[in-house]
Amino acid sequence: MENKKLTCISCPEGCILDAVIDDCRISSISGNKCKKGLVFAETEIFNPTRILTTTIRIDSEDYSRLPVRSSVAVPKNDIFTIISELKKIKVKAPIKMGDIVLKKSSSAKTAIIASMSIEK
Amino acid sequence: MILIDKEHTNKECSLAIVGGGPAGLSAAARAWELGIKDIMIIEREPYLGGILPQCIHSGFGTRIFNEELTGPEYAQRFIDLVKKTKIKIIKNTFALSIDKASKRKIRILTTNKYEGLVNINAKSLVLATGCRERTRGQILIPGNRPAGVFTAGFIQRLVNIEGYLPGKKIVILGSGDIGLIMARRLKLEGCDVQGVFELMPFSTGLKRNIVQCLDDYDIPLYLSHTVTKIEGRGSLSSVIISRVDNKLKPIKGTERKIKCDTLLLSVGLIPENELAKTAGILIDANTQGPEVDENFQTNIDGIFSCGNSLFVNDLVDNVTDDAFLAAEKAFAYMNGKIISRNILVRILPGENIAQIIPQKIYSLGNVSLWVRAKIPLKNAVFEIFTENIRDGFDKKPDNIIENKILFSKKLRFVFPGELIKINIAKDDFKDIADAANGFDIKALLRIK
Ligand SMILES: Cc1cc2nc3c(=O)[nH]c(=O)nc-3n(C[C@H](O)[C@H](O)[C@H](O)COP(=O)(O)OP(=O)(O)OC[C@H]3O[C@@H](n4cnc5c(N)ncnc54)[C@H](O)[C@@H]3O)c2cc1C
Repeated sequence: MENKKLTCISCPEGCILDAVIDDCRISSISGNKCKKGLVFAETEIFNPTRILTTTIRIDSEDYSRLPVRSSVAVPKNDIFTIISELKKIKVKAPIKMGDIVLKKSSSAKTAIIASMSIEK
Repeated sequence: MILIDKEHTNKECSLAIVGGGPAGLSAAARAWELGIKDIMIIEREPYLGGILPQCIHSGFGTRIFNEELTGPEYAQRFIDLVKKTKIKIIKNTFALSIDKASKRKIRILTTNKYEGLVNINAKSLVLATGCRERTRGQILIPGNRPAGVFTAGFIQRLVNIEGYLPGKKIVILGSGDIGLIMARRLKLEGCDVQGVFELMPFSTGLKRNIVQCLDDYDIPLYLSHTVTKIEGRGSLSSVIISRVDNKLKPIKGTERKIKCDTLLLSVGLIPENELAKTAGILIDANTQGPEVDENFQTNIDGIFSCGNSLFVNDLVDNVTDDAFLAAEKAFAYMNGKIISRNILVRILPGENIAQIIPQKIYSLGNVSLWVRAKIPLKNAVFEIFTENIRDGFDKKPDNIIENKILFSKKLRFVFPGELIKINIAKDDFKDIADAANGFDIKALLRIK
């Protein structure tokens, strides 16, 4: 049995949750004012994910960086690996918002896409 | 002051919009939808989107698009929308001053390097000039003036647009959302972020940003702390941090030196209204934006204000909504449907309230107020009551009326980092206006 304290970020209230973990599942939770707290605690404890955003190099007349994002939230532990993958690449204009700049791979389990269109 | 010379080139349009950020783009898109044909957006930068292209993190558009977009994506959606229309986009052009050429003609003096000075004449004008950052001078930190002290937005631009890092060892002063977002951003780029220091006993940033930007990366947050000295010759070498007491004064003996090469100041934003002032637009001391009515119209007929130039917004979705409304009202004005009348009520911020928008209301209808709290409160109540003395100084007995509560609304929690929207139905508002009977009304927030 293990106790975990976390702040729920599902809404601005920011409840402080106390979760008791038993046998790889949450056996009880307190501090949450609504059901969202339980859902949040489940993912946050067992597989925390975040949307990753950063910039990459671009060959363009007008810009030197292209903002990019993971198409869906990525596991928190993968963030720095994906960032270092992205440091290696450089794309060329024109680019359209939504274009894939880094495909899914074993190290990056989600595609990274352009957040903005750059014409030239 | 620049004098408007009749010899300048003149361009005509029906609706002019200054600022091509989300507020300006949203207003333009809505105005086009309503059928206004000749719309001009005047933007000083070579690109559209305002500050959004540099806000690369996600958290935009959850309400308008029902998706969590990044700043550039939110902007791109509106840029794509506007590009499909015949809205004229005048980039690289600075709006210098505004005046009224005649009762129904607003003249905007602009300049760019291709055409020099150009007058743009419009029937109506929407100001969407955004905001700027407070700088170090405005918070007066003693010490040297070495290189390495930057505002948050400037660093955000440097890193996300230009592609440069300001330094390697970072101290952040101010825990508003921009400070928190930049703490994470610099950490992801490999910087050593020493901590975020906040003067107040609470963070003004969103809880979710504290979790996602600081806790995720083990960046410490120190409340009730401030930078009391900046050290370094030529470039920054360290800062002195002190704890502050409950009057926000540094406590002697708590000083601590932190080595760093970059001090990031995230100490707030102020609406940008130098342009508005040239037209004689009245500025509210609390919001630092124009004083407006329920139509977002300023004291000058036909000139409307929205977005961060009206008051600093935390959510771009709200900026878009308000810009839509400003465009609708500008359209109504152009069709002679908004006529200036007498002020029905004037609303003043009272206890625990930092800002209220609009500041005055002209006509009877449903009313929406934007309210910013000064401090976080749980189980609070928002109340409107009559200001009991007319004009503040006039204390003649017949001018004193009872301090009556005219409206109240319970709020589970209030938080300075999040604007509160208070909707008052027409009937309730009529009661308020009747009871106020020409007197100012005041609003407050208190614990229930
Ligand atoms: C760091 C940061 C993080 C944020 N995070 C979020 C978030 O997670 N979610 C969210 O919803 N919102 C967020 N916001 C808020 C949101 O970005 C703003 O509310 C929104 O961008 C305001 O739009 P605006 O059009 O009023 O101003 P701006 O975007 O500032 O646009 C104003 C435009 O006017 C132009 N301009 C000004 N003066 C002149 C002149 N005289 N002549 C010509 N052009 C002129 C400027 O160049 C600029 O392009 C964040 C803001 C910041 C700064």
